[in-house]
Amino acid sequence: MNRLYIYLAVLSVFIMSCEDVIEIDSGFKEASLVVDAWIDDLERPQTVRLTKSQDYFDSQLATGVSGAQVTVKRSDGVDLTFEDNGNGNYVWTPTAGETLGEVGLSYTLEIEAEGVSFIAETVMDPVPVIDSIAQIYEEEQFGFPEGIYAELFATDLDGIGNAYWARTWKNDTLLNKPFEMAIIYDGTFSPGTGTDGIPFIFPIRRQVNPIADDLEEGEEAQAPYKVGDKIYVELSSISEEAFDFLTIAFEQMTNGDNGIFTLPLANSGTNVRSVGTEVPVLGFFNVASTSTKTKMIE
Amino acid sequence: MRSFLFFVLLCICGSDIGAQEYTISGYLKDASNGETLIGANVYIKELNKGAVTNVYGFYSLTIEAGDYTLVGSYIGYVDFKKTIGLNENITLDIELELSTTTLEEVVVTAEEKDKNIKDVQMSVNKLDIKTISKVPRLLGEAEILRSIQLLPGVTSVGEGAAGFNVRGGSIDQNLVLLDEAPVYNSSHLFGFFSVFNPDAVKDVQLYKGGIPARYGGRLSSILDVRMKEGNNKGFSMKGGVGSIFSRLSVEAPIVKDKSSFIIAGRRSYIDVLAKPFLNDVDGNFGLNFYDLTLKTNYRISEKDQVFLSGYFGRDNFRFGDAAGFNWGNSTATFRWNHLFSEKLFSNFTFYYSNYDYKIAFGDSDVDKFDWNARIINYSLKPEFSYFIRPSNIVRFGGQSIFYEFQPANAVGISNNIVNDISLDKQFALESNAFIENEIEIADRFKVNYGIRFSHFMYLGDRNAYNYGESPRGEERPLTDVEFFDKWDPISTYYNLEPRFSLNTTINDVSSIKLSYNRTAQYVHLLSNTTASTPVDIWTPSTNNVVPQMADQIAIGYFRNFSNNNVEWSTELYYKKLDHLIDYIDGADLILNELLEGQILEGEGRAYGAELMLKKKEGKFSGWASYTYSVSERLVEGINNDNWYPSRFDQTHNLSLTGFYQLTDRCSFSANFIYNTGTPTTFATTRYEQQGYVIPNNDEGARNNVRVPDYHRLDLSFTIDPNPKSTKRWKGQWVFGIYNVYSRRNAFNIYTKQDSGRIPVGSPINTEAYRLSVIGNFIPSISYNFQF
Repeated sequence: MNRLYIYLAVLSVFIMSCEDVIEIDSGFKEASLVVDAWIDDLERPQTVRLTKSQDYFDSQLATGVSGAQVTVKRSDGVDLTFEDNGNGNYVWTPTAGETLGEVGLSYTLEIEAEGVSFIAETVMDPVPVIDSIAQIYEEEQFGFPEGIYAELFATDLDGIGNAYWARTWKNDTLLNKPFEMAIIYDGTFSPGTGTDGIPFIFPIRRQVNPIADDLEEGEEAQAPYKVGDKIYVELSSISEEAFDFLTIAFEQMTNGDNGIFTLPLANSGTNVRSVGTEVPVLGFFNVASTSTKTKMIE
Repeated sequence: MRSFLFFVLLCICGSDIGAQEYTISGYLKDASNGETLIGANVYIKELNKGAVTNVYGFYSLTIEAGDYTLVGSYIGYVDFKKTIGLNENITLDIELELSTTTLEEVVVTAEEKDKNIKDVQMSVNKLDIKTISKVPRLLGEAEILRSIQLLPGVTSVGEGAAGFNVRGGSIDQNLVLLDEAPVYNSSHLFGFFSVFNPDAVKDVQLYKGGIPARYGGRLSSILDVRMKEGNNKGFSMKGGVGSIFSRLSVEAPIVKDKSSFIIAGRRSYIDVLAKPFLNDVDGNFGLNFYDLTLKTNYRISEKDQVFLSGYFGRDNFRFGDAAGFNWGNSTATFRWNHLFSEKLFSNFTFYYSNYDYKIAFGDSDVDKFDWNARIINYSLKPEFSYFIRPSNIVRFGGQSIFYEFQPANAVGISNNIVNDISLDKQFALESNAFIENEIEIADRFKVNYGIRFSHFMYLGDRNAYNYGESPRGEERPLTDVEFFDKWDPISTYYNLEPRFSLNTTINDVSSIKLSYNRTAQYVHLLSNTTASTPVDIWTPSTNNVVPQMADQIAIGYFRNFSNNNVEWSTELYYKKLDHLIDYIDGADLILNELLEGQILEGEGRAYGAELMLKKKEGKFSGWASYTYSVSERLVEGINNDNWYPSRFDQTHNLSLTGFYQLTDRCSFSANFIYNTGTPTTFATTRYEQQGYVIPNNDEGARNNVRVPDYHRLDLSFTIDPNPKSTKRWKGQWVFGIYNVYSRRNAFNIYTKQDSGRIPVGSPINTEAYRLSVIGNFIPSISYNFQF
């Protein structure tokens, strides 16, 4: 619910505030290994990326870490080897009809990189089917322009603690703005409400719409779709730890838009640890079951 | 309880021996409007003894029979002198005439001239409304909460932030009282304006330390705002038209000299001004606030007077037809002053206070979200002052407060399925009893010692949650849930809070004061943003959240110069805070039934030195205040378990405020503020996950860097076109410039990625931004009138 602060910030800047880009020293000291291991049960090549962290103000693509050994061990005894494809990408390619596994299995990620062993564990959680992607014509409201908006209809699975990540592609382009990160906990934004098994709530259903590209600082208005647009959604299960990781990542990526209501800086907690050393490591390992849906706007 | 009563009786009886003593008592008032004067001096010339009027303007002097000259005085008023033959108890109400010579001069402190030297109370600042109205201000509006930030020891996390910080305490550690009712959110428009309408306020006192036993409930300070009673001599009207809102107040007698009322209102028109810039939005945009303050009183007899006062204010925000957000306070106070005797003054207060907010999204019946939250309390508070003799006052009393917290009453309708995500109400009962004895124990030695016993019960009916252990800084797991019936205590806390102040008067113009106080706080504001938001909720102490505690010692040296016209004070303080509240990373403070598992407990320490030089009267007046301070926190799981500065820590804080009377018609005022930038945390590092760039602080630090220093100059120029006019209508123009040299002071510095759309696989640009809440100089014109 911390996204409420953004609405408040929009309100508060009505007075006379201004925002300037400035130069500061980040105090960055040393790069560490970053594990970007979000894999799923879709029948397609699965990639684990190993990169290096960098100075916050170094706006380059991250450098890949090559020459590592990457293995995912499944609790049914099957070991999946991820091949080094260069530039930090390690890929496991399924044979026809094969997937990474099934719901309920545990997975252990083992990495040997730069002489250090790293390990991470997770379980593949279930995901509901996407019932439909609906299109709705809306008049102008909330400051959103009139037009066609999409809604993702799915119902949270029974039981407390089901978390999901919905990723949307508009005309084959992933919606990757921080505000477009749609993470869901028991059908709502966050745990603690005690809801369970409900259809995804309205603002979550609407998160399959892109954030408009021509916004003023601090605005968060969505842009409508046009007839002929293609929408593709992947709804992935994530562990509760992954939900916490992404919640903090979301809050921190969007924190600058909170104006005078910024949250304290917090680090997303990793589930990867180095074995027998204190070598720092960042990033996350999650194995998802995934449902997908495609919709053409008519 | 029985022994407490016995102690009270002992104090009263034990000290009431003395033959041929009589009491002279009564009220001190302003002759022009009948307003009682708080902190005025009544003095027996021959005995060199005096009394100070209490918050109701009452004084009582018990002295030996004889013939005396009694003097009533208050700065800005002509001394009242009367010869009395004291051979029986006398009731004498004194009316003071405004002094014409000082009428147009600014009077910085309207009280007994050497009160700062003689009074046992230290760490207290009093601002009267005349001073507040002269301080240069944002958008031309006199502002109480912004004015007190010019005093030593009072800071704010930044411009526009709600609330204020006193001696290293957080904003919820200030008890803000409006006619004794607590105000839970003292700000309009976030933090730009306070809820107090200066036209309706008589007196503002801030206790930062040496807090006497009669006050309690918060750790760091008491801001005691007293409203005017209303003119009981004749009709008068006051108002102003400014660039952000307009004000109007009306006061009049109901029964002359017996009963009067004041009603004062304000309404902002930012929405009206902003409209031309909001073409994109349909006609339903709205952003405004208003408030209404009223008070009436009735003098039933010489011994009884009742007061009824109330406040109602609201901030509204509407965005289109379908979204709305509003918040506000309402308070009501009923008070009854009763004189049991000339020496025993009593007051019984009953108050109601409420803060609530409402948020609504969606105008469709199948998809909408309605949410409101509130804190309500009711309190009964009897208080007694026993004026034994001029050198000895005993005060005792008690209070009970019943709290009802409604953390969230929220219903979401999602695709026609109703989903009630309301959180259970919380109930609590806070009670306390106190006694304090202010006595001159020897010539030049004055003490005020007291004790406050406070008691708190967190009550059913509701579930109580029990949590297990977790690694430091992480959420604690829920272990079991227990249901408690209505009125069943879930947890009970009590504390003894000793209070002590000592004044050693070195000579007529200098003194040394020493004080210690322990304070306990049973209700807490849940907030983890830089500035507190209107949706932050209050929570009681529970089985998982223990009461916050503080101990403070302070020592001060006070010296007056130039016939008490110039005051110098130096104070040193050290404050230790325990059981402070903090949160795990990613904590969800609202709509979270299991929030208690995400609360971390910490401790704090704050110390500093406060210097103040004040010139009270003359063509030029004003004050300079400098504070050196440190405010730190230690919370397991934050900053690698090391001490770190609190978000509002400011090492150096300097403010200069000056008023200059150019001619009868024109006066000029200026203030300059400088403070060390507040500490914050920057991301050192970025890393990629699934195409997103995530910030990280590799050191796990908290508040280890500072935003640039803050400084600002404001000017104001006031013209009374016709000061000598005998017409009833009096007008006044105020021209002001806020932030004269247009400094872009940083409220905050944060990092984020560019807001544009970046194609997948392309580098994402991340930069640092400085947010200045006020980025330019702001001129203002306002017109004030009285009639």
